[in-house]
Amino acid sequence: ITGESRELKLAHNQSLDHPIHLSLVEFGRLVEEKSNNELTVKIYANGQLGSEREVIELTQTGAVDVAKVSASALEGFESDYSIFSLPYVFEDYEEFEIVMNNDEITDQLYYQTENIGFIGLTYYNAGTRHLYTKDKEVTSLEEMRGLKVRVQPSQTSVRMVEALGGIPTPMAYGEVYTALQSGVIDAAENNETALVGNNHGEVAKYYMYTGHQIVPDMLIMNAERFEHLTDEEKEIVKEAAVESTMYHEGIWTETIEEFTVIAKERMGVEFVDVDKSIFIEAVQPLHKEYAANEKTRDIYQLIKGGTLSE
Amino acid sequence: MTVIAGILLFASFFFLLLFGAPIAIAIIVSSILTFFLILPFDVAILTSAQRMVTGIDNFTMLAIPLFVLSGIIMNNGGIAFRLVNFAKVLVGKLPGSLAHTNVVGNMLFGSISGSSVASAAAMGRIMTPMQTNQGYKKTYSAAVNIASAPTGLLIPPSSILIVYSLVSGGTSVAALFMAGYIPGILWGLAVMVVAYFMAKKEGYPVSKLPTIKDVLYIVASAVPSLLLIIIVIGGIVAGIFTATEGAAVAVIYATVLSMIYKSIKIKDVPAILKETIEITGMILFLITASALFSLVMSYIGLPEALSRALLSITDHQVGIILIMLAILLVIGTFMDITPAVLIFTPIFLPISQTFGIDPVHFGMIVCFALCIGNMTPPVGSALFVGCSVADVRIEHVIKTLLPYFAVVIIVLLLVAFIPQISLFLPNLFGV
Amino acid sequence: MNKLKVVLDKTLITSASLLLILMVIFSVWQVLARYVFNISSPGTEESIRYLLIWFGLLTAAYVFGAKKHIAILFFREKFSPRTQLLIERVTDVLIILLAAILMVFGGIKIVLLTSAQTAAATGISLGVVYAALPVSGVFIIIYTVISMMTKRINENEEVGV
Ligand code: NA
Ligand code: NA
Repeated sequence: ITGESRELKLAHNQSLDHPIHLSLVEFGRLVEEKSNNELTVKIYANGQLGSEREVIELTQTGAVDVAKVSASALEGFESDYSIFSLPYVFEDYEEFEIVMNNDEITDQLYYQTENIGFIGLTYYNAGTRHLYTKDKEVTSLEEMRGLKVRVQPSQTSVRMVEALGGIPTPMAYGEVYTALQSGVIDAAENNETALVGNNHGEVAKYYMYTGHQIVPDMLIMNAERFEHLTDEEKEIVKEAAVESTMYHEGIWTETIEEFTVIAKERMGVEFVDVDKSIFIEAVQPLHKEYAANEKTRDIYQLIKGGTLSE
Repeated sequence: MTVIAGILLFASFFFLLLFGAPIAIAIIVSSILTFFLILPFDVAILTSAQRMVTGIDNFTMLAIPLFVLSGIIMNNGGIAFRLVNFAKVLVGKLPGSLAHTNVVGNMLFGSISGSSVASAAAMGRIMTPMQTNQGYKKTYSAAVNIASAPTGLLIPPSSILIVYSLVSGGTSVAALFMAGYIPGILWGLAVMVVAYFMAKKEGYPVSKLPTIKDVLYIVASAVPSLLLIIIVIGGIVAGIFTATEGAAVAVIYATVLSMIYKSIKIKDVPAILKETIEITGMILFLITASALFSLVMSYIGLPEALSRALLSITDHQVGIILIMLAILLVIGTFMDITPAVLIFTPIFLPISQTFGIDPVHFGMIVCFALCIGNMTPPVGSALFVGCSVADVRIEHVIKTLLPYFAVVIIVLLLVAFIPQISLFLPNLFGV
Repeated sequence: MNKLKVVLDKTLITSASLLLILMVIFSVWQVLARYVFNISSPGTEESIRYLLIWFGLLTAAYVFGAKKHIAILFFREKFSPRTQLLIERVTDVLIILLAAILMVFGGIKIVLLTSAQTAAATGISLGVVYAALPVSGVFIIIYTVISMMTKRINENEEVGV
């Protein structure tokens, strides 16, 4: 189509020094390089165009062409994405990677949302979530009992903490620091960046490697805009997406290693290995529900089949 | 593209504004017109409609109607008199003591009611007759009341600080509240200094001091009202509850207190709710309109472009701050604080951040500068109300107001260039 | 016409008051649940946010009826009364157009777009939330038409809080 803008508007809500921004810049660079600047990418960082939910809606309407959002933000739009919130659906990151590089599974996931206006292009590692507490080690279900844990405002996260015996306390992320400090909550759960990037390590001194959730970031694109690209451009966009995912893997791992050292040495956070099997056992009722619920049954089987077949 | 879209956005906005369209309408129409320029019709409409709703999708925002409600309840709660008496005990020995009582009364009452209009009206009604009886000129008493009424907007709880928190991307309300105390009190003190010298020149009397017994009674009857501030602000700063929950606690507290004082009857409730609805409907609609406006600005890349333009004039921090202060002061003369904070924060905040100015400190700069507009013509809510309750004409009060205006500007410069004035308390309390 | 306005006012004030009281109760409940009962209340914050959207848009509509949206009348008042009235009418038409295109038409489209979308904590359809926009748009249109037919001069507030 002549005269149409050849610029892809890409929105995300992280700061300019966040690893994901660098990876999205790499995505843009790859698109521009591969297309000889026929296609350009303009990045709106820092949540300039709105919250993740708003940005997904903007991608649906076409005001935004491409967006990086958390898979958890997509749950409300397509229930398949809620599978990532299911604790221990992946036992570790290797298992997660196997699934996310299985085209049969990702095609199902990425094109499921075509009828509501967008498709998935790729995923990015956004860390593995672990439990951290203000002042006590938690390695058993007994120690979990009665623990007030901040969770994201999602039903699955609430159910997860309940299943583990804790008291789920949904609250906005910005309030976690003060809430830990004042004792409104005893614990929170997130990847290592929370300790350093958001200074939670100043008030939380124990970080347990529970690895209960691996919720990736997703790169989504307006379906119609993608459809209007030439076949060659479609290939370019997809290739650039996948290559930026690999690029991201490297800088993300580096960031986590760096943050772990800072948390340990400068903030005095103790990192504790735990026996995950007791926790995995405790959340099995949730797995049964996902396997039985008709909205999540197919994707659950697909993922479980994907990991078992390897 | 940025330039054309930016010109369309602001030209249509100011055109509608000056022709007297409601400010929210001016904001929305100019935003949509700009969207039409760059997006297909359908997409522009959908995107705008979405932002009209998500613009108020924020838990912290509930603090605004709740603080307005608690302020209105307290307003009807007969506490203004108790606070005036309390203020008199504090400053009764100074020349022109009733003027100082008025200032401190505004700081206390404005702090609770969160409205310079309510404060100027309540204080003016009580203080003007008292001052006239003691031979104070009406222009003098009106000027003191007008000049000190805006202090309650900076001293927490404060809706405008919550608005700033929202529009600046979630700056901590607790930190902003703590930051507001010293600038607000300095403003009040500056007004008292001018009032002192004017009173000395005119030979205005010192009040008779109450007996110890009276003092104890006065303090005791003011304590329940002052306790509201301690419970609510203390609770928010200590992280016991969020700003919104604190505001809900304030509503309950104010209701219980008014019931004990028997100052509110069941039949007053509909009027109180109606007044709350009128004020908050206006504010929330402005906020959601501004959410659309700032989306359009980001979309066309305006803040970056303006920032670059400003930095090309001077890259000196002092120069940039002075330019921003001048713009805010001019805007404040004719625009109300809420829309001005909503429109100018997204433009100026990124610029301030290139100099590493703390967003809490910057919030003080913006809100303080715009609050000054409350006491200036052509549009100044404290000015209008202060003149009307004192029954003086605006043009007669202006000359008396000039020295106040000057000292408040000096305090503004102090606030702008000494970050510690704003940041000392937030740092002290670790918020 | 006036009778209709009284009915609309009553409807809006009553529903907005109920929403406001409900939001106070929910917020206080959230504090009590945390400290006194030691239980979690997963859905309250989200519910409050959605009630607030309805509250905000309904009260905004009411304020259109009450003509209390702040405007700057200082400059307009320099014109002759005839010109002022003309400007007022043009503004009214603009408000009707805006409410019809953006709030009602756009609102219905966004309701359709989001009706399948579910909220994270409560699981309700986002369409229910977005429906506040067309509803409040209809109120604004009716109010403005009534105002055009019955009032001659603008009474918008010049000052805010
Ligand atoms: Na206040
Ligand atoms: Na002014």
